[in-house]
Amino acid sequence: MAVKSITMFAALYKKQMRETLPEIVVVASVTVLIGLFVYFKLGSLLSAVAVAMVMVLGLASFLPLISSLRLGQEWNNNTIYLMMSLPVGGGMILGSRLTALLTQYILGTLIVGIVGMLLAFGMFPDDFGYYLKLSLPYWDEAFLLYLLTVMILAYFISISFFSQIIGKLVSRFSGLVTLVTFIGTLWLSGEAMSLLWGQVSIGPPDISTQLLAVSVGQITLVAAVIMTLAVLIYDRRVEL
Amino acid sequence: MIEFKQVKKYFGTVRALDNFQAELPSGRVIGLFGPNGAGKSTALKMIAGLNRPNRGQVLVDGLDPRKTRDRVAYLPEIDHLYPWMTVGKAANFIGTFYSDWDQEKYLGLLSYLCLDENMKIGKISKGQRAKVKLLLTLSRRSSYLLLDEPLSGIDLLTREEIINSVIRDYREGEQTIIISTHEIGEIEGLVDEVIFIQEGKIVLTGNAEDLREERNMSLVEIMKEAMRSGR
Repeated sequence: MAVKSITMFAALYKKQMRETLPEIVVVASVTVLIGLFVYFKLGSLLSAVAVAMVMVLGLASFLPLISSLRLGQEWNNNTIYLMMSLPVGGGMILGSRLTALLTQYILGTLIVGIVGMLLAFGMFPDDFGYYLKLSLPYWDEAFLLYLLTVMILAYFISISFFSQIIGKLVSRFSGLVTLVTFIGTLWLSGEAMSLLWGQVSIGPPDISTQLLAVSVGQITLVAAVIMTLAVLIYDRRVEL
Repeated sequence: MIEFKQVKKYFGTVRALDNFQAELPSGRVIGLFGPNGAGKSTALKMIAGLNRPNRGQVLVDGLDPRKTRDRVAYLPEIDHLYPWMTVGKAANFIGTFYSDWDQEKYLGLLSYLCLDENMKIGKISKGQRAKVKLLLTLSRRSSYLLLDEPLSGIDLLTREEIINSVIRDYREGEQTIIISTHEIGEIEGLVDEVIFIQEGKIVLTGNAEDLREERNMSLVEIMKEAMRSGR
């Protein structure tokens, strides 16, 4: 009896999550430490809380992108022999990696969000309630904005995978080829998105919601195209 | 059956396989012999679907090797396992992908090879890593078993354990084993068929016993002669 695809995907995802675990721990630790520092040392500065949380949010967003470079390390560590001999295609290999990195981002930002909220609530209980009430009508937009950041990360990770795979097709100057491909793909996809924007018409009411929804749709489409190309090249061109 | 049809493979300007034509029969133990750089590993990687020919065709049971990865158990020469995994975790991970994974066989071999599930792959000796790789490859009941230099850089006692493990679990007639090595002496008695390769070309092929009787030589001597004369 053949092994189910979902079982294989789950095994790959679990392995990827195990590899990203140290980064998740780093984000959690830094967030808690900075939170404690702000709480005990900076006292009643609301802006200090905001700046500190934005800083760790940057870390939580940046680390998954750095982790995406681990794909190339599979070649350096020879573990690519194991991955490529498995009876799965590039879609599953790269898909599980992308899912794990997005999970890493979501967990990281969730940790920062929760610590930030707890800090704000602990330090400014009156203001917290006021701002929470004030923000209630904008939660749809906030959700779309968050989804947009997830998709922007997926877009960058797709370019990272694509360029690393292209880099592995050549035996010399692999790093340079990866870098040039990364920049080139970024530029080309930017141009494509500009063209797509030209086809969109947005009007009242809910302009901001429409803008966000269209942005999410466009970046998802572009990321999916780049990811598909990466999978096709991985399946058809990559060899040891 | 595995077929190589006029296969050519280049790595840059290096010719790894040159008009390589062979039919490897099923259910036999086949030795792929030749000096370093002869093209043995490339041939095995092609069967495992890890390399593609520049020209010609490789077929496993009539199919593209990329479609038959679930029938092939491949043991590469290099360390290809994640160093952070324990033996148990690696077995669990690899076992998930194959319906022919045999947990009973795995546990039997684990004990036979004196390995422990809690051993961390990055922290064990080279000999133990070689045994772990073998354990994970042999724990499947695969149709094809590809062993690329399984004895390379391994001490004498471990070599014996590795050879005995391969013999112990071989299912004659059901399973095809292809062993690539330049150290023929130790596996001479194990192989049914031999293919001698030099510079990507087959210089001699045939039934091991017939060749030995015909030439009244050991396989090591036959290889030396074949390599010297190019035939």
